[in-house]
Amino acid sequence: MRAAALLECVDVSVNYGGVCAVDRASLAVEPGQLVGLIGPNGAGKTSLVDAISGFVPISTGRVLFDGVDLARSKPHQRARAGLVRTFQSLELFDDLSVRDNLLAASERPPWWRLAGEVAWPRLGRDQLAEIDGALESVGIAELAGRSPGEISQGQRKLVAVARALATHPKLLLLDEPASGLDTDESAELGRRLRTLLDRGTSMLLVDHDMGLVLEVCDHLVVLDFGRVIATGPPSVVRGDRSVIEAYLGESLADTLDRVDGDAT
Amino acid sequence: MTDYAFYLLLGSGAGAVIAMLGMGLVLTYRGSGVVNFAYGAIATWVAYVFYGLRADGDYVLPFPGLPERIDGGDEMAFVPAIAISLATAAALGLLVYAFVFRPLRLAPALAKVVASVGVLVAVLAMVQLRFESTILSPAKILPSEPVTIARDLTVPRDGFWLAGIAITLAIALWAVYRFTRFGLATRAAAEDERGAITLGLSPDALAALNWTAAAVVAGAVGILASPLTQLSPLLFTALYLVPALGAALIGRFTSFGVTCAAGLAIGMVQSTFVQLQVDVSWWPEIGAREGLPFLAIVGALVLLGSRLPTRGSIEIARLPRAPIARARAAELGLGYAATVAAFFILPGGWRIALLTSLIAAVLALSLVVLTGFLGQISLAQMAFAGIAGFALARFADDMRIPFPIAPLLAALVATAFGLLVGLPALRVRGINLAIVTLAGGVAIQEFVFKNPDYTGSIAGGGVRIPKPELFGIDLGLTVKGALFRPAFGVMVTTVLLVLVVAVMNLRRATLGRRMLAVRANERAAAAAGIDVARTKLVAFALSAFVAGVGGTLIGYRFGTISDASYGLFASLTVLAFAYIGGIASVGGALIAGAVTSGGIFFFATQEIVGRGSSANLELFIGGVALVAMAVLNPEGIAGALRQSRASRFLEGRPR
Repeated sequence: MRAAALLECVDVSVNYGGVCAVDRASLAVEPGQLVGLIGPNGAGKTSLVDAISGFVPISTGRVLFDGVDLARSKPHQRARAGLVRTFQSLELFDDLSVRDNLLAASERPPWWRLAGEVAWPRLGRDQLAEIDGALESVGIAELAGRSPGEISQGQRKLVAVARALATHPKLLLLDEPASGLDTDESAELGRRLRTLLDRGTSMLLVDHDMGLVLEVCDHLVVLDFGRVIATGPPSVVRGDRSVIEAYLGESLADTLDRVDGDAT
Repeated sequence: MTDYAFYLLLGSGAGAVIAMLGMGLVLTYRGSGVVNFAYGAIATWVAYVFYGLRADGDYVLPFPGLPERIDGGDEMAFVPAIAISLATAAALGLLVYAFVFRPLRLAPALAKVVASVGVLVAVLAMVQLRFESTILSPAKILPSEPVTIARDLTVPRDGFWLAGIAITLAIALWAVYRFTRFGLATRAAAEDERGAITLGLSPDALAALNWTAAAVVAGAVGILASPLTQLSPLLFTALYLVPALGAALIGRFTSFGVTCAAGLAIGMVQSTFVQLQVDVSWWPEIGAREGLPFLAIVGALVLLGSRLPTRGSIEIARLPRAPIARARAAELGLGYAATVAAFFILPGGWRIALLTSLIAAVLALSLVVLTGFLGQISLAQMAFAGIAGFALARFADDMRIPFPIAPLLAALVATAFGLLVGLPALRVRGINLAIVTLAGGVAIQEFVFKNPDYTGSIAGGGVRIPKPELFGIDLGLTVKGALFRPAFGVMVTTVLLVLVVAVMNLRRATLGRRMLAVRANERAAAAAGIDVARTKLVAFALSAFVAGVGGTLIGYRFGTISDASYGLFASLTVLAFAYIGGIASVGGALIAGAVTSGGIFFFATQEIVGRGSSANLELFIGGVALVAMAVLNPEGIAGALRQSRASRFLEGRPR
């Protein structure tokens, strides 16, 4: 077992009533790594992300973040510790502007400033600069003043990623950030994720866009029926014909052909 | 022990009423997904109609503008009277569904709750408008000769009759839902409306049928149960409705049998409290009856962790927008100066109307924080106000704490109660929270406000609030001979200004952003590192503080306060007018104050038209307007103004 993992799931199971959504899954994300979590629909990917971020209880196993067992942490405590997620469905705060969406997530003022703001609300210049930086890093700085209702689905996805980034996460759990993006936007998102990685944010990426996942991830974990059925670098998983046939079928074979075609 | 057996059996009548109302609530919920806070109002109206027919044969119509009553000659016989009354109930249920809840079926829970509050307010106001004496002691309908069960144990038998009817009703409803095609279809529609539509069922028709059936049950309860005690407007709408909600919650708004059993149990246990008072020295003399349903409700929701079974309905519409209002010094200053000037210039009647409006605006602001920003509903705002009012009496009169400190301390006491009522909000939200706050409000009312230890003797007119005085300047409303003094108006205006600025700032502050984030999506808020529980508690505390300030102003205005100053009905009207004005913005709260019953708008209309309108007519208009707002324009008047871009003064420009 690697010692220095940032996130470590050990034999994690998630049960809904009698249904076992995740079955003793283990995975690790090391600092500076972008790990892809893939698998067919209903494989348990989102359930595992929910378990890691504290939205569903785990029935067996442990989740360790930065060496600390998260069993007793509530979702917001995990977020404050640097384990931040996005959602598959759009979950922006509709009545707040894009900038305020990011502010709501990033601010951690002490209680006396919270009280003081009711008498005199103000934002520090550095606070705003930080927000603009987070928006810039996903390429939507110009949307800061807009309301979530006025922007496109794809842009809303990016706001969700920026909002997560504004909290200075150590590890970002991205649940299908590319769904709703077109191919170009998706490739652009991939490049931006790599840039973020270089700046020190580790990531766990769940997505259906095989092109994106195979291209940007350092390491893949393949889930099916709640179990981890393969792990390894994309080149290995991609080459593993049995994985392709058993789990991803012909569609991946096609995707692989396309990716290979793009590469040559 | 025979004593307790006696009271348990005696309580079977009240228990049956609770059980039947509870089952009616379940029926409405299963049929349409609405928790109908106005359910007791149907029972109330039908009861008055029935006893009106029996007394003088007049059939009373509830529509303003139409003739008030149809003269039916002499007193009507029992059978036709009951037939007409139950038909009235069915029509009322159908009407309310068709015009209020059918249009709202895709609306957020908040809109449904406020709409049912609107119906409740309108019906109660109409009862007061149409019936001269609203306290009736109707003659018995069910056989009530005493029956001897054992030696020393003789009780009147009408309770058993009612209990028998309740149990029969439970079995009948269960059988209908279990075995008939109608029951199966309703269950299917409750599970998945879209699926039911594809199967060729009409959820609308099913809901209408269920509403009609529930209304007939309510009408029957109103007629049969009124002779048990005195009939009064609050009997079914609050005193029986709260325990009925408790019973329905214990039955998880699904099971008729459990609801029936829970209702009977609550009524019977409540009845034994009379004896417990005698036997147990520390047993509270007042309020325990209302405390029990509150505990049952909190217990059912928090301990059982039960939520209402969610309905597979189609799409949920959004809550009213909460726009940013920039506090611009010039506009606020102008408004302040104009209001202050009005207190010096206008004659006495205007000043009183203006005061009513300003104080109502303070109370509406408390709901802007809680409902507008946080998205949670409270039906207990007047209870918080009252806590502060009575605390003020204690601090200022008994302990002689000087002016600005005593009301602030009093508002802090209200804050503590707000936290207490807010605690269930950590587990409970939406409609369920509205139920908790309603029950909490009733419990505070009965437990605290009706206790002479805290609130003075009724004979003495309540407790005295000394006049406010700052730096030797008397800020009282009346001082020997001088009525309607402007100084008091200036004080109230200043308090409102401070709160307006604070709430505007809150919307732009970290706390406000967190509240709106929680309102939008609790999961996403937690994922963004926001402590949802703490944010809710802070909002409850702030809201109760503002309501508490409003309560102290009410105290100073009247000089003496009693439990009637802070009635449950007032809590509902505060919510009603706040929603009409616009629940999610500061401008909306100011409009709410202006249009409130007895406020500046109605007074001005009265002066211009030259005809007096009664407070009850204003409340009726308020109730109907609330329903109309909920159905047609959930953003309130402030939202309508915003859309017409005529609101720069009240709302401010978009950011």
